[in-house]
Amino acid sequence: MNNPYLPSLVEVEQIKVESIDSALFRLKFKDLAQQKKFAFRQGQFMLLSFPGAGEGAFTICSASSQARNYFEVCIRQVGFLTEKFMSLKKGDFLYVRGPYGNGWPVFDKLKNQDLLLIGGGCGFVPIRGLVEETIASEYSSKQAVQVLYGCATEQTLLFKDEFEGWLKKDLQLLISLERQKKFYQYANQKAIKGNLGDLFTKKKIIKPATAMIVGPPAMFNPVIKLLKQLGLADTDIYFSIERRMHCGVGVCQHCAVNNVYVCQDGPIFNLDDLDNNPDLI
Amino acid sequence: MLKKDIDKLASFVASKYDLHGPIKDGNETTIKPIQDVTKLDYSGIIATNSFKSFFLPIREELFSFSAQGGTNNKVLPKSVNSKAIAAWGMTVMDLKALGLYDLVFAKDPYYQERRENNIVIGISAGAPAKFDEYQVFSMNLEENILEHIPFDIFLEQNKEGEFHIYSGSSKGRQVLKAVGIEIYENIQFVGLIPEEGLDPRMVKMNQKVADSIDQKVWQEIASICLACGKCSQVCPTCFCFDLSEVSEKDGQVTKQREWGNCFFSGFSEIAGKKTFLKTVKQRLFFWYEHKFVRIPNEYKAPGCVSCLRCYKVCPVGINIIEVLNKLKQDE
Ligand SMILES: Cc1cc2nc3c(=O)[nH]c(=O)nc-3n(C[C@H](O)[C@H](O)[C@H](O)COP(=O)(O)OP(=O)(O)OC[C@H]3O[C@@H](n4cnc5c(N)ncnc54)[C@H](O)[C@@H]3O)c2cc1C
Ligand code: SF4
Ligand code: SF4
Ligand code: FES
Repeated sequence: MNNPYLPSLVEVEQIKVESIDSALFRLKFKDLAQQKKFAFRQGQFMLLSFPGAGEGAFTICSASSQARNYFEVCIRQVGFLTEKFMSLKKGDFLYVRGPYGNGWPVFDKLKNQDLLLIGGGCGFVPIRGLVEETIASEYSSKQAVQVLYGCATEQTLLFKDEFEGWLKKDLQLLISLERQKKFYQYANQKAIKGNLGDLFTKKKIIKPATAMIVGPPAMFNPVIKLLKQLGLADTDIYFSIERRMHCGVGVCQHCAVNNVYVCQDGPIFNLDDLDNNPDLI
Repeated sequence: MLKKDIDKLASFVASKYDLHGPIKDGNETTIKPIQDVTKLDYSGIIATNSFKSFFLPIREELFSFSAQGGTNNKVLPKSVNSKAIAAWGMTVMDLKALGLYDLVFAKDPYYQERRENNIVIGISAGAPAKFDEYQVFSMNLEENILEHIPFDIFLEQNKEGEFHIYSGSSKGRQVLKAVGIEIYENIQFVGLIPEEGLDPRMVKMNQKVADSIDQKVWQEIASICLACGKCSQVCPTCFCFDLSEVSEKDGQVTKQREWGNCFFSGFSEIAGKKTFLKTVKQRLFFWYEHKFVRIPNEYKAPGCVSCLRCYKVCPVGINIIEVLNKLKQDE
C-alpha cells in the first residue's frame, strides 16, 4: 500500500533572493526517475518539510512543462518552518510530498479566454506560476493576459528581475505600490501609488476576461466588487485561499470549510461556489 | 453456548492477543486491559471510553528522517509493531463506527496494518435504557444488521443468557476452530450501506444540519460549552488528527500522528495567528457538520452512531439528541 505521508528527497538546485523575506527555490527530486514522472497542474501545491521544523504548504510557481526537470516554490519567512527553509543553501536537501489540490481551470476551456491575473502581497506567488504557464505555453501571444500586482513597496515586490521578460512576451503588467515614497519604474512603465483597487480606476482593465485572484483575505471582496462592476460574471472569477493543512489528502479535517476540503476541492474556487459556501472568503 | 464456553473463548483469545473489553466498576463501565475474563461485562452498557485508540492510537509514529543534511538522507517508515489487540465486546454502534474508520482509512497503511493485526469481537446487547430516544438517529436494528458491520466474531446473547455465535471473517473462524467451537453462523459483510440505499434518517439529518448555523440553538449551546473537547475524545467516530515532529536526543526526527481536536483554537490557525474557527459556536457547528454533513456526503454512512458517549462525558450536559431535536423545531 502506498504511504501517503512519506515525503521524497529534493535537492535545492538554485536559490534566488526575491525580497527581504522571500526567496525562490528551484527544487529537483534526488531520484531522477521520480523527477521524470513528476507532473502537476498550475495552482497545485506541495507539502514541504524540514526535519524537526514541520511541514507546510507551498504553491508550485514554475511552468508545468518544466515539471520533468524541476519545480519552483517561492517562500516567505513568517515563522519557525519558513525560517528554516531560508537557511537552506544550494545543494542542500529537503523533503516534499504532493502535488495536492485542484489547480486553476485549463485556459483553453474558459468561456472568456483573456486573462486577468490579480495578486496582492505575498499572494502573488501563485500568479507567477500562471504567468510562467502562459509564457511557456505561448498562451500570452494568442490571448490578452493582464497582470495586476499590488504591493506595499518596491522592496517587497517579488520577481522584479522577471518583469521585463514578461512584457516582452506580450503580457501587460500593472503595478500598484501602497507605501512607496519615490516612484518605481519597470521597463518603460511606472507603478502607480495606491492599492490594487486604484489600478481599476487609473488604468484600462481588459474585458471580457477570466479573473484569477490570490492575496490576503481582506483583498478579495473589494477586488471582486470591482470585477463585477467591470462586467465579469461570477463564473468568470476564480480565487485561491489558504487554510491550515496537515494531511493534504482530505482526511484530517484541518482545512475543512463546511462541506469542502481546501486541500482537495481547493485551494482554487470559483465565485459561484460562494453561493453554497460563503465561508470560503 | 453458555457463558463458561464464552469465557473459554475469551481465555484463548487472551493467550494470542492483548485482550481489552468492558469492565463494570461501580456505576461506570470502561474498556480496559483484561486480566480475568470472567469479569467481562455483557450487559450492553456503553463504556465511557471507546475502542478507537486500538485502531487509531492517541499518538503513533509514522516514519523517521535518517539524518539531517547530506545525500544519504532517507525516510524510514515505521512499522506498527505493537502487540495485536483483541477488541472484545464492541457493540453494534461501536462496530458501525469501526466500519466508518475502515472507509476513512482505507488508504492508510498504518491503520490497515493495525486493523489486520487486531481481532474484533462484537456483542449484541447495546441498546441503552432509553432506547426510544435514539430514534432521532440512524440506529438501524433491522434483521440483517450483522451483514452491514465489520467483525471477526459476534456474540449474540438471548434473554436466558445463552450465546449464539457468528463469524465474520476467516480470522474469526480460525479462532473458533482452535477453541473447538463448531456451532456458529457465517456472516458475509456486504458493506455499511443497507440494500435499501442511503439511510433516510441520515439524509434528513444532513439537510437539517447543513446551513443551520444561523439557528438559535447553536448560540444557546455555545454559551454553555467550555470547548474542552472531551466529547471529541470519547466519540468513536471522531478521527481528526495532527501531524507533527519530535526530535530525539540523538538528532533523529520522527513524524508522528496524534488525535486532533476541533474544539481547540490551534486547529484552524495559520501563520500570523489567524484562525478560521474563531468562536465556540463555529467549533460546535464544525463538529456537528463533520458528523452529519461531511461524513455522509463522502462515505454515504452516518457520522454518528448514537452511542451518547459525548453527552455522558460533557461537563455541562450538552445532549446531542436534544440539540438535533431543537434544530427540528427551529425549522
Ligand atoms: C494552499 C497553500 C499554499 C501556500 N503557498 C505558499 C507559497 O507559495 N509561499 C509561501 O510563502 N507560503 C505559502 N503558504 C503558506 C505557508 O504554508 C505558511 O506560511 C507556512 O506553513 C507557515 O509556516 P511557519 O512554521 O513558518 O509559520 P508559523 O506561524 O511559525 O507556524 C505555523 C504552523 O502551522 C502549520 N501550518 C499548517 N498549515 C499551515 C498554513 N496553511 N499556514 C500556516 N501554517 C500552517 C505549520 O506546519 C506550522 O507548524 C501556502 C499555504 C497554503 C494553505
Ligand atoms: S452519540 Fe456522540 S459520541 Fe456517540 S457517535 Fe454520536 S457524536 Fe459520537
Ligand atoms: S464535552 Fe461538552 S463542554 Fe466540552 S467541548 Fe464537548 S460539548 Fe463543549
Ligand atoms: S489538510 Fe487534512 S483534510 Fe485537508
